Amino acid sequence: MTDFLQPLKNFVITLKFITKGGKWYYAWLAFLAFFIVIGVGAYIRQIDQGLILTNMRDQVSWGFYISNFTFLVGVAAAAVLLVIPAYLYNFKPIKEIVLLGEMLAIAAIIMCLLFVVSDMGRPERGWHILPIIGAMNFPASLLAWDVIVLNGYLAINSIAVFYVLYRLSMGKEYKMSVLWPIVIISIPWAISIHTVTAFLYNGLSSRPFWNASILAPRFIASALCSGPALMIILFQIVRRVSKMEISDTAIFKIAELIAYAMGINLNTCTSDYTATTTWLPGCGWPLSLT
Amino acid sequence: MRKNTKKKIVSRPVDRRSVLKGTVMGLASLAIPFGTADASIWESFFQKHFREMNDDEKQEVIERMKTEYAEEYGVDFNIRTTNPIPGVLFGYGLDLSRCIGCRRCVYGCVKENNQSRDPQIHWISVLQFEKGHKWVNIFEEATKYYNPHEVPEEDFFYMPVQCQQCENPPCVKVCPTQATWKERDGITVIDYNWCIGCRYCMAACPYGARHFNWGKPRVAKEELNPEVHYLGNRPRMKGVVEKCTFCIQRTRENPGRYPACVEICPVGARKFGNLLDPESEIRYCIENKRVFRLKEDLNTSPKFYYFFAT
Repeated sequence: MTDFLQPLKNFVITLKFITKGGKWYYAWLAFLAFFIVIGVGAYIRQIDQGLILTNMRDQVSWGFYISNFTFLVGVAAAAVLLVIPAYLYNFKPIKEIVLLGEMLAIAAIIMCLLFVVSDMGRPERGWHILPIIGAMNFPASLLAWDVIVLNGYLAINSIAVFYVLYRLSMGKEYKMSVLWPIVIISIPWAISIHTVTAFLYNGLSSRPFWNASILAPRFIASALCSGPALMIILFQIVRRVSKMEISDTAIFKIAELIAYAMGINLNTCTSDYTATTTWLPGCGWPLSLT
Repeated sequence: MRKNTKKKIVSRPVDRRSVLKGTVMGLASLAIPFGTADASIWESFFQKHFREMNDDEKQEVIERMKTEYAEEYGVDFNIRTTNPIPGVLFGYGLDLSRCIGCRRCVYGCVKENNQSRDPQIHWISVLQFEKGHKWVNIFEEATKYYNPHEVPEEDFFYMPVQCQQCENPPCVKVCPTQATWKERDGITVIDYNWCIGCRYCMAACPYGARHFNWGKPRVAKEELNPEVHYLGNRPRMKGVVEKCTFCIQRTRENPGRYPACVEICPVGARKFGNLLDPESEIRYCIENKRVFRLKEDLNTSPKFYYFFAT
């Protein structure tokens, strides 16, 4: 019986571990809790009164929720920028912080899923989208594809991070033979989540500005700027306020990779605008939305 | 990360067996009995997709809905699930040279189809265009909220737009739950009890024909139309998408009736009929007038034909 309770005990030990900290730590937790409480309160009001509270209307039927979702998919996908140098090129400085990148990906994906659920008119019917018990419109609907890739990416990253942390907590090094297949899947999968998210928009012939073939590459390029940029900010804070060491080499390498991605991003961005604005006067439905 | 490389042992190893045991116990704890919850709530929660129900199940659902509606609105509804008539493919014609922009069709539709009055939902939008200015495919050149003392105005013409009942509907393709589909008589319908309210169909529709219940739909009791179809004008709930169904509750019946908008149009601009019947009025229009369809370049292939007859 003691064996059976062990995972629970381990969980309690860990829980104790994360609830210990200085006054700034508690202040930070209180700060976050404050916004969580506000958010939960707002969501309860939204459940009660409907999405009318968001001030979205038929003309602008997707707003802040969906744009946040899209941005965070990019942030999650950007973990690949750490995974590739860390595991594929065995680049030491980044290997030391790759776990943080993967954890950020997990957090971002969870936020993505929460944003999509918040955007749903009938969240309690979410099971309708599942295969077999629901009526998933696969492969016709790209939203069905997105459900698969996002949850898959969440699972892959959770397994990888959980495995490494678990081994470390046992006082053992992780085995590359176990981690390797996960890493190999996670790299194309990271690209796929943002590609499929771009396809969500891309596949709509009714929206000329979205219906551009360069959208998916552009999404990836911009994600590889914004995601790691967020990471650099976090790393700078983390290495100042905690004992965790993050080397300058790692941060400069990430900055360098962002610069490359930014080049591609600007190129795809201008290509997109040039192509779409050439026929601007008669652009169709989306412009009438304003 | 220095913290991790310290190799401090904070927890004890767990073997596979105890993980399995823990998982099973955890899952078992989820199976808490539902207790005294209202049965109808659970029935509606677990209601199957309309197309997967057999006739008995449909009947059960209809009975449950009648009770629910009676409780909510105090009105006895006649909810039908009439199937498409074989050999019928509905088509619509609209004579733009006749339309005076009076919006009677808009409000006739609202009344017939139990659309929410507050917040307002209109399945038909009448667009106002300046004569000789831009071609009608470009919707943003149009004014939707024109409000003069009298219509028609001198330098304008009007184009009502509603669901175009596409043969190749983009909304159906994108729906992640198959909550919307094209019936055999060509009408695209929605199962309001299956829609999750993601609004992807609204992003996909090039005609702005789909409308969302942003708030709880409100209709005064005495204004409700109790003759309804499950896939058409039955009262909706908040958080689902709705759209024109060519008045499925009228057109599928025997004897059939014209859609409310056709009936109410004071200038006879609206034509409706069976595209497969060579003798029908709509076929006459298509064969003898210079008809066009909106945004044909998008390959949606609407069954809604516009023309200038005079």
